[in-house]
Amino acid sequence: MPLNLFFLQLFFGLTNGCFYVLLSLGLTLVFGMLRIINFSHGAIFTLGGTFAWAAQEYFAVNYWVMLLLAPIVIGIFGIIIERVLIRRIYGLDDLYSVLLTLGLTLIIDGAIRSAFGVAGHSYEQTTFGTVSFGPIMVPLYRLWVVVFSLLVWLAVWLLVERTKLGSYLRAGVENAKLVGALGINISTLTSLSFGLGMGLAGLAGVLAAPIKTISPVSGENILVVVFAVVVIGGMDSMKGTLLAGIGLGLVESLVRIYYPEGSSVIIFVIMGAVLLLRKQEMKKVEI
Amino acid sequence: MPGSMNMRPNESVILDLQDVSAWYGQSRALHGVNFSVHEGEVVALLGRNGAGRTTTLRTILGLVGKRTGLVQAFGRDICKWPSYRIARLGVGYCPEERGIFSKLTCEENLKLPWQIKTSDAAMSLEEIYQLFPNLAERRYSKGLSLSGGEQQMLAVARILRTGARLLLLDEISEGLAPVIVEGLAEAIQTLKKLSFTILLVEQNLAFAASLADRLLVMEHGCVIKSLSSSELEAQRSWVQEKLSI
Amino acid sequence: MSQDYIGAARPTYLYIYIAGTVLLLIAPLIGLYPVLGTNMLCFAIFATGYYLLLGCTGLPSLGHAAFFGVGGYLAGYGIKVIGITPEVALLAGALNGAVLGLIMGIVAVRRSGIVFAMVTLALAQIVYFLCVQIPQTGGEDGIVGISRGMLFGVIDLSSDTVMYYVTLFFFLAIFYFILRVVRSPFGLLLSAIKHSEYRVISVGFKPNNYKLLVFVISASISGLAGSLKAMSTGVATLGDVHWMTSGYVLLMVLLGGLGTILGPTVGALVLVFLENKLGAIGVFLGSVTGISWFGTLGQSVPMVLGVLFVLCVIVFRQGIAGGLMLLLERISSNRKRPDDPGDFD
Repeated sequence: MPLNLFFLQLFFGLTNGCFYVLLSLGLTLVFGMLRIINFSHGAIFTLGGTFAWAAQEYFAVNYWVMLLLAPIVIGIFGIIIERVLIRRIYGLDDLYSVLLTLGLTLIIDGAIRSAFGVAGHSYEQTTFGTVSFGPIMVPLYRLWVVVFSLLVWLAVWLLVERTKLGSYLRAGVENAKLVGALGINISTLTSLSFGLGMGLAGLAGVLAAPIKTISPVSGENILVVVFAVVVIGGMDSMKGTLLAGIGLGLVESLVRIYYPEGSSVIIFVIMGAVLLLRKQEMKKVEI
Repeated sequence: MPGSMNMRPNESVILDLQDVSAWYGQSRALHGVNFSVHEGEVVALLGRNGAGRTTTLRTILGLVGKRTGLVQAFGRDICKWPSYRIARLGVGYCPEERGIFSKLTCEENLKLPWQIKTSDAAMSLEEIYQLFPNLAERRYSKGLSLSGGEQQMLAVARILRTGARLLLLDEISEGLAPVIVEGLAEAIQTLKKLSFTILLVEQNLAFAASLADRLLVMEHGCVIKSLSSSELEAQRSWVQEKLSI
Repeated sequence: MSQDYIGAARPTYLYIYIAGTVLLLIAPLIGLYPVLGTNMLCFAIFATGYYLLLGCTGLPSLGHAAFFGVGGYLAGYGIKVIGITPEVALLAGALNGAVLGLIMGIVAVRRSGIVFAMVTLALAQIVYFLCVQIPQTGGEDGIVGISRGMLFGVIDLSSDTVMYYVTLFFFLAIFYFILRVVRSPFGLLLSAIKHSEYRVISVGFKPNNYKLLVFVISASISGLAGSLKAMSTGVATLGDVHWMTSGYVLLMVLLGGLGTILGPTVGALVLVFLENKLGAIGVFLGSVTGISWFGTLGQSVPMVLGVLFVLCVIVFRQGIAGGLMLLLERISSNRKRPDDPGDFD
């Protein structure tokens, strides 16, 4: 395989990995604070892309506006969902969070299908062109995706590790009730966390729109992969999430180069291996 | 209710519980608790494990499942209030397990609780570090790496920073070396002089007796006796039996 | 697990079981289309096997569609291409469930709760992608035209009514098998694992072995159900292996009631019926209320299912059967009203 094609494939893997990172971030944030596994994350990813596409298709709103607008709108939508629905299942068995968010997925996917049809959509956007690094031609859009995703990760990291709000989040992950007893309004905190998690998923959706077909199916497929990434990378470290997401994206593309049929399952196989080899710890939540 | 209650006519009632019951899920933990605490008083809650002492503190803060009865703090009926509102009223809580957040640094732990704007009792960071010099040394260490004594000091220190005037302290002497326990006792004496109101859950009778103006003995989820500190000597053996020492 | 009885059936429930069995026996005679009925029963088998894992042991698998779908593919391929007889096809379905279940289970039971669910989901995805790629499955088209043949060489399954009664036989056998398991000491152990795995370990048992056993049993039942369904409808498709089917079964159990063995059956019957008749219901609602949107209900099956999910979780956690059981309890005894699905068996 010619070298430039090889690096191009790896770069595609890198961009995929960035989507995994953004989605994993949202999932672990929500799980940490709310102890909710958000199965609707994939549907929100699709929603973000659909939102951007529909805005352009019907209102000629451009990509850059949607990049900012879609996550905010979806974040607000997430806050509403948290207050109206998610709140009612706190303290129940984890199973119910799966069921509720699975139901949300069906509703959101169904709504998208009935509003915009069953077939996927492709997002038209002004060509970015390519840029050359020596013999390697890299699509500029994908480079933008990588840079932007890393910046977003950094922003979230700074928020969580260096701000007061972040200290509330980190403390809330350990003991939400106690944080409440110390005078912090936990209910606002959980709403914000959920909104932020959803917003990240929506952002990933907008970012992915120009390079992936936007459809509920792609959302479903990427969700399962992200679950595997989260199981491998662990839910308690943002750095772990970054490494796992990017690493697995790269591994996926490597496999695609040499054994294309295996690329869709390699991440799950790695997950299986990790689980078999990782020692079981007696913690309340084990990954 | 047996026992005498020293009424100090000039001081207001900071905390009042009347016929308070509490449930964890389906099981009832408190059966009609009655007592009140006046401003500047130090009251100790004594009893065996499972008597309901920690539950009483948690009930005041709204951390239990279901509460009935009247709970008043600073003159407000807080029975239906969410925890954070109660804390912001001026109630500071040191939980039994200390509740230091392991992933936050010592200083972050200190700065976490909500500072009550209207309170003049709030200590600044510098004042706290003066009162607890050990914490100043460890200010950037993660909570996980603090020793038991340091964690306990931190737990007390952070509620001092909020400006809370009613302190609920749950077994702060537990598992600590005697010299540290002495230091804690001194700190509490200082707070007492500064007119803080303190409700103390204790297993260590000597520690409690040295600090408390009044001692309440609990059994099976209600208060069975109230003793002033002067009455304690006379009833000491009865109290010790109730604590199964 | 009933707290006062171990091993003995409570009298009221016995009447329910007898009544239910009789009802199912005479259903085709009172107007139920046998094909629809067979479909309902296949899913009832699937769901009841799943109940053993979820309701009794507390393990929420999201990957059981893998066993179901592959069971269907094996039956379809076997009958169409190799020419095996129906009983072999059914056996193949059940065995595939056992083998796949063993492989998946070994990895999955090392964890519990949500992580267990995610692991089963991911592993099932591997199976799904394999099914997409292996040519024998017919890819996007699936396998069609699966004939039913003669069971044991004597029972002609091509008659829809005969197929219904054969499926009913399997359903009753499996239902009562699981009922016996639930009321046995083994069932008690499963319940203990569900409520507190640590305690089970502390008394010397190795819960993972039992979890694996239950996983394999429920997987075999799912495989059997898949073969039955493929033979009954004549079709095996990718949809049967997709995780949405796992979610579908989960909804059946939730809708019917997580706390009782009757729940999954009730849920399966209701949901399959609903799915088939949603279009007609929509038209009816549309004519009654005058809102024309109802007419499109038939196309929005997933959305309706989603709404059902949400409603069941928020306001109706005990499910249909669970709710009825609660009513019965209130009428016949003084048991305190639980807030959760409860344990009625």
